[in-house]
Amino acid sequence: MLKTMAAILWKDLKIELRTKESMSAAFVFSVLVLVIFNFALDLDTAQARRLGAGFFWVAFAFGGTLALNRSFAIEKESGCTRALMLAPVDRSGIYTGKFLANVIFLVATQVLILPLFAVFFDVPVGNRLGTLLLVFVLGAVGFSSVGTLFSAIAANTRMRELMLPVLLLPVTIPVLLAAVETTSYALGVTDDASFWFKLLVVYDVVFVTVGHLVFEYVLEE
Amino acid sequence: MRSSGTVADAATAPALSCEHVTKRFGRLTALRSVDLTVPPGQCTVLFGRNGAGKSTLLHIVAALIRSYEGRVAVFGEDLRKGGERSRRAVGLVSHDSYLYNDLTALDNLRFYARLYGAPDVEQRARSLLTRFDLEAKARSSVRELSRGMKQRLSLARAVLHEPRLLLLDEPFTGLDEPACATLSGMLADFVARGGAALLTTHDVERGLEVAQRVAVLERGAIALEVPAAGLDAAAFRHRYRELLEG
Amino acid sequence: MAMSGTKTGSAILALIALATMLAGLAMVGFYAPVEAEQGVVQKIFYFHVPLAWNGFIGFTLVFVFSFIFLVTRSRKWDIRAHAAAEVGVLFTTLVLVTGPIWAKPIWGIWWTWDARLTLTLVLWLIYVAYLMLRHYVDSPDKRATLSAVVGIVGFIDVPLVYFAIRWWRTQHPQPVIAGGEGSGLDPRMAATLWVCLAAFTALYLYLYRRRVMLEETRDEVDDLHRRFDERGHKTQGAA
Repeated sequence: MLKTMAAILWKDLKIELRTKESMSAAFVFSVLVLVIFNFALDLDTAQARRLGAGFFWVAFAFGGTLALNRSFAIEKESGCTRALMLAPVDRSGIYTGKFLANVIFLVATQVLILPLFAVFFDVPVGNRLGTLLLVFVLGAVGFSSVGTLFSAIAANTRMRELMLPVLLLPVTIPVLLAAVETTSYALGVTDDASFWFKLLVVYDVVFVTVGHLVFEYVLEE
Repeated sequence: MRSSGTVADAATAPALSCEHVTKRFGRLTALRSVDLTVPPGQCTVLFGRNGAGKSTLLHIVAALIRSYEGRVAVFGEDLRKGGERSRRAVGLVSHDSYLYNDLTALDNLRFYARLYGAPDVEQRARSLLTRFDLEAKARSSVRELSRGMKQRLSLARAVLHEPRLLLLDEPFTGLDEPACATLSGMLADFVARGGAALLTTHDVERGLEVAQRVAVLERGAIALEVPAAGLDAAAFRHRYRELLEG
Repeated sequence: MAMSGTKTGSAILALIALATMLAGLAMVGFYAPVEAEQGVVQKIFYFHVPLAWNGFIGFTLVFVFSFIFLVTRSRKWDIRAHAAAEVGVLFTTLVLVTGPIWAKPIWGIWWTWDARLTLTLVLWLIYVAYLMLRHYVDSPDKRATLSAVVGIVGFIDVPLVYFAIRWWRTQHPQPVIAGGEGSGLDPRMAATLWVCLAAFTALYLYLYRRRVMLEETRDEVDDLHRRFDERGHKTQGAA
């Protein structure tokens, strides 16, 4: 399982390093969402700070969905999903490898967006930066755990760009909500987010496990 | 003739043995009680028009399709029981390239070598590139390769894990003359090394060139199965056309 | 292929549903007292709550049938999961319709992101995703397997959504639409509620059963088509 995971992770990282398609799509789209929010909701500084976390994660949700979509689009492209099915490998290793690759891409995108976010919304991000990065990782893990699974599912449909968000967004409401609240805490807007941290961890553990167990059913003929 | 015994049986077990294989997709019956034998060390060519069920049969043999009726045995081992061993014994070349367009030829082979757990990934990948005459393109991304080169790379990928049965699904599609000839040569090389092959095509000329055994699949059932030696090409073509017009 | 259940079974279920529904309506109209604060509008409660109850039970059924399907790979369970989802989404839609109808006269606004109603909305979204997925997958085998996976993942998600929304609402309180039905119900109200609960459950089961029978009939027709085609081949191919 670990070998399969490593092979898949290496491959996805290599492809992304060459094409940069997942991350650029996620980055550009997220920035666009942030910009549009700014125009749509003329906020004053105080409001922007208070609501900033929410905007960040909405932008992430939409940008991240694009990146996740690509995760299995590259496999479908030349029938590579079949090639993976042919190989005598543990299929949950395929899930884990792709899941980790997606987490890396998503966290990298978040880190890239952060300075722009800080500037657009005039939010001080340095105070609890370590916590903020932890939130990024926990949020990306939760989003990816279900996202990788659903990306594989959506890749089998006629309208995968539509099906992935339709499937993913309702199910990730807990993790997005928790991510927003913990980000607010990390930005100093609120004082206590212990419940939300716990929810993030629980969500992550539950869905990484479920994804791992259930993935082999998704990768069938 | 030897007396029956498992040692003799194992040595002469056919590479592939399909018995009464039936596959339905909802309302459509793709395969209708198919009986087919592929002897070891030979290339069997399965003719049939589009939609006859050729791909479905290959996918069942490659263990991509798990639910079907009947029995499929690869080198004597029932596919339903063999599991990993059966999968390792089989390689598949499809009209899909199974290659990552954004990776180099070398990286593609490295990936599959890792996936299949080859002992020395680098050595395996490079030796395959040499064997299939792709050394010059090792560092080119797959997107830059011609169709013929892609097909060779697909073939390299398919034999990477040293399967003894090679399945080829319409491999000559979209290839020009020289590329076809190269592919036929490499296939002959594979068979000469002791491998068995099952190749599907609707191209009668090409098929007859590489076949040691010939079969026809029509509307999901085997309509004909004979050795290629001594087969009159013209007569076969006539018979084949008759079957298609059925 | 035998069909599960018979016309008799369905007829009995229909009668039960009809009887309990009539009884329920009568009780709602004449037996249950008018609530002090909210007035007659409060009586929507007797529809709203049973609909919600069955909406959630329906999703539990989707989960159970999806799970059994993945274990047995029997089409029978795929049919049942699909039917449970279709009737479930109908009931859940009605919850989302009756909620605002209740809220507007009393609080003056249609929607307040009240915890329970929001949870129902999320459930509705997951139902819709499940049904859309089924619609957009072409291969019947894949359709069954993939939707079973979504049914299972969605169900596991619901408790997490519940906790998330509930905590979020305690932090940012808003008026509650579906008023406390558990606390201090007049015994006549409780009785009416139970009858309505029975009525809507019977209705759910009846609709579910008819949907299952419809799908099984479709399968039977497909099977006949296939056998007919095959026979055509046999007479053609005989040479």
